[in-house]
Amino acid sequence: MSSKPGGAGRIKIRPPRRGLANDFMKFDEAWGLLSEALQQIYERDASNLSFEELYRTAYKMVLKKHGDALYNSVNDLVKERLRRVTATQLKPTRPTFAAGSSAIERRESGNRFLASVKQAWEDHQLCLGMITDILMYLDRVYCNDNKKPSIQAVGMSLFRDNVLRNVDYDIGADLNRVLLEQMQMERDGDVIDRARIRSCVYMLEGLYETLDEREDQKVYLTKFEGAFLDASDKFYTEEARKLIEVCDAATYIERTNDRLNEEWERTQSTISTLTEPKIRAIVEQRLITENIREVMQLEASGLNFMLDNDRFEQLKLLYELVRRVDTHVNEIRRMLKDRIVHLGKEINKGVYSFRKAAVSADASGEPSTVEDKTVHAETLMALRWVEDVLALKDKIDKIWLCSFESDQGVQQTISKAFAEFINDNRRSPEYISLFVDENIKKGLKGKTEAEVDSVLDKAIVLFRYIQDKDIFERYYKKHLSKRLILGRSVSNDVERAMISKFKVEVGYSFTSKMEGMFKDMNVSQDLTTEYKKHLANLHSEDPTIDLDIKVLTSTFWPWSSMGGEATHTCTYPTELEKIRASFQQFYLRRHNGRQLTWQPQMGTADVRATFKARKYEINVATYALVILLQFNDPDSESLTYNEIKTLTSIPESELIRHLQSLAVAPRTRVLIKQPMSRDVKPTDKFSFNANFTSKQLKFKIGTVKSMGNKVETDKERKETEDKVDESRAHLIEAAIVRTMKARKTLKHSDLMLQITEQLSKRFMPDPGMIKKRVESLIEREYLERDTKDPNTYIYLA
Amino acid sequence: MSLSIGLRGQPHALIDLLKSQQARMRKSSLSDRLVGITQLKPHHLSERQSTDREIIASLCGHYEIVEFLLESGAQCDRDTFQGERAVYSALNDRIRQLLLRYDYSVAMDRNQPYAALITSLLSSEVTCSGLTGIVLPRPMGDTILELEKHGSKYKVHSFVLAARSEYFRNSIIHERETQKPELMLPSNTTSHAISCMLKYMYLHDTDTIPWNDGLADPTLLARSFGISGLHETVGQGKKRQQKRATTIETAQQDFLRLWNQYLNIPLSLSCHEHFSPDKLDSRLQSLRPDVILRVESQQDGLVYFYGAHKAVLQSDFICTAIRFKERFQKINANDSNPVLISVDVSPWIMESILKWFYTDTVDIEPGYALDLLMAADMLLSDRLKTRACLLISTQDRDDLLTGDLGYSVFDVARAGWVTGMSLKLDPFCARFLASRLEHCLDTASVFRPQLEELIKESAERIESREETDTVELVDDIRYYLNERFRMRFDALPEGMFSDTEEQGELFLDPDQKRMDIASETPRTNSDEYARLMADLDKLLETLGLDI
Repeated sequence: MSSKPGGAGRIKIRPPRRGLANDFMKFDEAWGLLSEALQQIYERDASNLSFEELYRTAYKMVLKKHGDALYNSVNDLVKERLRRVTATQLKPTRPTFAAGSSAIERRESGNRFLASVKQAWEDHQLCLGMITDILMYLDRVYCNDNKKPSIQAVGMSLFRDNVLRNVDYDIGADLNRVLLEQMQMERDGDVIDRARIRSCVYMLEGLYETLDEREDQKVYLTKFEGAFLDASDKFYTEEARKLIEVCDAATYIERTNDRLNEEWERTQSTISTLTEPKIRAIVEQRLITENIREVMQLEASGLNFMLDNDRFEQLKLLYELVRRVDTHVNEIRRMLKDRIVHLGKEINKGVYSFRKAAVSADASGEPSTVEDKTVHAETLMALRWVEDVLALKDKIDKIWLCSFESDQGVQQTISKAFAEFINDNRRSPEYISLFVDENIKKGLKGKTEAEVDSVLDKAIVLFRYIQDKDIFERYYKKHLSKRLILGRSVSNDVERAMISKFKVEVGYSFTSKMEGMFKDMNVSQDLTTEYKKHLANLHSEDPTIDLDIKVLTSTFWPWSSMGGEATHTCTYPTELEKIRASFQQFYLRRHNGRQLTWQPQMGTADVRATFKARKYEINVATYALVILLQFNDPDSESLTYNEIKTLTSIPESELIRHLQSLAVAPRTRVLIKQPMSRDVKPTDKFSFNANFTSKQLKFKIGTVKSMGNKVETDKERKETEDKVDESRAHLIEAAIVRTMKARKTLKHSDLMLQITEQLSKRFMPDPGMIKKRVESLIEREYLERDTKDPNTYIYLA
Repeated sequence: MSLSIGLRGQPHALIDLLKSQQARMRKSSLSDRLVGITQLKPHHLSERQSTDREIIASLCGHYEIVEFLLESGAQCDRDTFQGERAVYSALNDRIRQLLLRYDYSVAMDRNQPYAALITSLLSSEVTCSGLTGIVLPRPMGDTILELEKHGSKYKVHSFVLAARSEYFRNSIIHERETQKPELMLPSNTTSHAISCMLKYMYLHDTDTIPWNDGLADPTLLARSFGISGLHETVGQGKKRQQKRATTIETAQQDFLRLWNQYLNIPLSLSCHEHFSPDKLDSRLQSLRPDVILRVESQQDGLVYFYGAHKAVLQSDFICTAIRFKERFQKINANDSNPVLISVDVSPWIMESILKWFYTDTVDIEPGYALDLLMAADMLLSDRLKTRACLLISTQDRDDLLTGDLGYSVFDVARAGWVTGMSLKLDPFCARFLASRLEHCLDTASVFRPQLEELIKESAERIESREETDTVELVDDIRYYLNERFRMRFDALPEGMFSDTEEQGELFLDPDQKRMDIASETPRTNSDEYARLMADLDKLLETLGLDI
C-alpha cells in the first residue's frame, strides 16, 4: 500500500520547480478566490474552506509582489463589511431616547442595542481572527518588510472608524449614552446585565485611537471614561446633598461605605478596572471630603454621640472613611480632642463646684471642724476625680483600640486632650499623688501583682500628662514620707516599683530623693538594732523604754510639709530625756560632726496605762506621751493648760491639738477637761480620767487632724505653691547660669528657648519668672547686658 | 523562588543582599538556577516567595555576582530559554572563563533548541517558544504509563518512548492494541526510577536527574528497557558538556531510527481515492500520529499521506492550520482522528522537513536545497530556513553557475531576497560571482545577460528602499574580487556573516579551502584584477548605473 515517492531515481528526474519567477499569477483571479472566502467567513460558513489553499493563495500573492494590493483589498473588504453591519444590524436597534419612554422601555431598548453591539464586535473579532490566520504570510512578510500595521491592528481601527464612528450613525455616542444610562439604573437600584455591559467595555478597551496601540490611547479612556466620570460626579454631588438632608450620621456613613463598595464592584464586574482609582476619588471627594465634617458635627448622631455611646462599629467605619481622604484623620482628631477636653472639664467642674461650696461653708461655720470635714470630703473627691479621669481614659482607649485601629496620630491627640484638661485642674498633681497614696495604703491589699501593676500603670499614665512634674514630686514626697514614717505602706516592693516607674518616665533626678528616703529607713532600722545591742552591752539599768529611732537626712525629706521647719521645742520628762541623750551620744560617737535635730511631732509611742478598770495599751503621739507623763505624778490632781505648757514647752498649736485628742475626742477621753467644751482655753484644767474604759485593750489615740494624707487646705496649698515657686526659682537660676557659662553670650529669646527646653521635663517655666531670675542674676553680677544690644546677656566669670 | 538581577548599581551591595538570603536559598538551591539577563530591581529580592523557581541574573559584566551565584549552587540551566540567555550574554571574557570553569559551555549549542523541544513535552518549566511564533499548548502525552504496584501514572508520548527504548518500541508497535491508551510497566520498577528514566528520554539536562540517591539504577534500567546511551551518561568523570552532547547525539540517532523504520511510511493514494487514517501503515498507526500531512506528487500524480506528531512541528503554517481547523471549523474537536493538513511541496521535500522535525538533521541533495528554502519560507519555519541557507551557501561548484544543479546562483540571490534571507545569501552569491567573474563578464557568455538582469534587480531593490545610492550586489562583488586577488588564506571577512554558527561551518568546509588554495596561484597577476574591475564598470555603464 505504501511506497516511497519517486523511488531510487527521484534525484535524477527533477520535477519542475514551482513558486519562483516561472509561475505567473493574475491578481484578480487570486483575489476573487480570497474575497469569496472572506465573504463566506463573514457569512459564518467557513466549514468548507480550505485553509491551506487560501493561505497558499495569499502566500503566492505576496511572493508575486501583490502584497500591497492584497493588503489594501482586504482592508477595503473589511471596511465595507463593517459599514454594512452598522447599517443593517446596528442601526435598527439604536435606542430612541424618546422623552416620554418609561424606565423599563429604556432599559429594554438599551439592552437590545448593547446586545447587537456585542454581537457585531464578537463577529468582527472571530472573523478577523480567521482572516489573520489565512493572511499570516502577508502579516509576517509583507507587513513586516514594509513596516505596515498588522491586519489585526488595522481591523481594529476599521471597527472603530466604521462602526463606532460611522459617518452616518453615531453608534459610539449611542453606546456611551446607553452605558451611562444603565449605570445610572444600577445606582438607582435596578438590576442590569453586567456581563453584557462588560463585553462592550472590553470592546472599548480593545480599541485604540492610533495604530501603534498605546496603552493610554484606548478608546475606553479617550471617549467613554470621561463621560462616565462626569456623570458620576454629578450623581454623587446630588447624592451627598440628599443624604445629608435626610440621614443621621450613622446612616450617612453606612451609605457612603456602600457606595464605595458598589463603585469598586462596578469596576471589577461591569466597567474597566482602569477606572477604579478615578471613580473612587470622585466618591471620596463628594461624599467624604466635602461633607464628612458636617456629618460628624450632627448634634444628635454625630461623632460626639458615637463617642458618648460607645458606637464602636460606627466609629470604625467613620475612621476608615475619613482615612481614605486624609491619612492623618485630622478632622476626627480635632473633634475627638474637643470632646475629650469637654468631658474632662466636666469632671473638673465637679471638683471646682465642690470647692466653691466648701469655701462658702468655711466662711460661715466654725473654722477648724468644718475645715476638717471638708478636707476629708475633698480627699474623697480627689480620689473620685482620679477614678473618673481613669474611667474616661479607659473608655477612650477602648474606642481607640476597637475603632481607630490603634492609630498613632489619634493616640497623640488623645494624650494632648487629656493633658489639656488634667493640667487645667491645678490640683491634679496632688490628686494623682493622693490616688497612689490611697491605693498603696489600702487598695492594694489582696490584689495580685498584675493588678497592682495595672493600677500603678494607670497612675503613671496620668502622671505623664502632668505638666508640672515638680509639683507632683513635691506632693508625692510628702505623701511618701508620711507613709514611710507611719509605716503605712502595704509593701516596700510596691513603693519601689512605683519609684522605678517614675525613674523610667522622667529619670534619676526625679527619684533620687525618694530613693534616699528609702535608704534612710533602712539605715534607721540597722541603727535601732545596733543601739539596742549597745544598750545591752552597757547593762543599762533602765531597759523599760524601747526606742525605735528614725534618722532622716534633711535634704531627702520634705521637711516643710512634715512641719519640720517650725521649731519643735519640747521639754522631755526625765525618763525620755535620758534615753534621748543616750541615743544622741551613741549616734554622734558614730557619726562625728553631724547634727541631730529631734522631731517629736512625728513620733509615736506605745504606753501602758493603768486605769481603775484595767490596764490598756495605748498608741499615742510623742507629744501626747509627754503630756500624759505629766499626770504620772500622783500628787498633782489636775494641771491647767498653762501649767502643762510651761512643763512641756510644747508649741501652742500642737499642745492644743493633742489636748483635744486626749480630753475632747469622745472615745479616747483619758484626761478630763474642765470645763467640758471643745475649745481649749488657757484657763482650762485637765486631770487624769481614772474611770476611763474602752472596749479594746489596745487602741490608738489619733491626733486631731491626723497625720494621714489628705488634701491640702487652701492655706497649705498656698504654702506649697510658694515653696514650689521658690524651688523653681532656684532651678531656673541654675539652668540660666549653666547655659550662660557654656555659651558666654546669648540673646534673650535664645536663652528663653534653652531654659524652657531644659526644664520642660519637670515643669513649664513661666517666662515672667525666667525674666525675674535673669534680672536677679544681673543684680548679683552673674550676668550683664551687652551695652550695644540690651537684648543680649553676657556671662561674667 | 524568583530572583531577577539587573545590575546597574553596586554589585557588592547586591552580593550582601544575596548573602543575607543565602541560608534560605540553600534549602531550595537544588532547584535554583542561574538564568538569563534582564534587570535586577532590588524589590525582586523581597519577592522571593513567588512561584517560579529561578534566579535571573544579569551578567552584564558583574563578575562578582556571577561567581557568588555559582558558588551558592545556582545552576546555569541551558534547557531553559533564560538559561541560554545567561550563557550567551556573558558579556566579557572573564565571565565566560568563569562559566567555563563551572563547566558551562559558552559557544552556542546548536542542538539546544531541539533538546528543548523534546524536553518541553515533559516539563512545563522548559520553554521552546523561541522555535515557533505560534505557541500551541504543548501536546499532552497520548499514552498513559501505569505502574501497577504504586498506582503512579505518567502521561507520555508514544513516539518518544518508541524512539528511545527498545522495550517500549516493542510493546507499542508490536504488542499493543492500537485502541488502548494504557501501557503497563513491569511491577519491579519504582516510580522514582520511571521519572528519572523519562527525564533522560525527554532530554532533561543530565546533571539534574537525581540518579544518585540509589533508588534508580541506570544500568539496570538501560538493560531492562533497552535504552541506549543511558549508562554512559551517568558515569562520573566526564565533563558536563561532553555528556550533554553525547546524550543529544544518542537521542538523534534514536529518533532517526524511528523515522527511518516507522515514521517515513507514507500512504500513497491516487487522487480519487478517499483517505482514512486506518489506511495508514499499522506500525505508524500504533505511534498515534495526531496530524496527517498530505502532499501531492507532480511526478507520479499520486497523493502521499505522512503521519506526524504535533509535538515536533516547528512550522507556523502547520500550527496555524491546525489551530484554524480546530477552532473555526471544529474539526477534530472531539474525536481522536488526526488533523489533515495539505502542504504544497513535493513529497521528498516533505520528507526532509519531517525528518528535520524529528531528528534535527537536514540531509538533502544540494540540488534540492533551494526548494527546501522556499518550502521553509512558505511553512514559516525560520530555523529550517537558516539550515537551508547554510546548505546552499556551502556549495562551490560550477553547475551552480550553469544551473545544472537545478538552480543557479542567480536563483539563489533572488530566493534570498524573496525569503528575507539576503543577509545570509547575498554575500555567498557575491563571493561566488567574484570567483567566476571572468566567465560572467565575457560578452559572449550566456551568463552575462543573467548577471545584468540580477544587477538591475538589485539596483531596483535599493531604489525602492531609498537607503543608499550604491548597488549592494555590485559592492559585494567588488569586495570579494579584492579579497580574491589579495590571496589571503583567511580571506573571509570578519562579521560578514552575522551568524557565528555558520562561520564555524564555513571554516571546516573542504570546498571552501580548496577555493582559497586555488586562488593563491595567480598571486602576481594584479592586471587581471584591474581588468575585471574595469569590465564590471563597463557593464554597469551599459546598464545605465553610473557607479
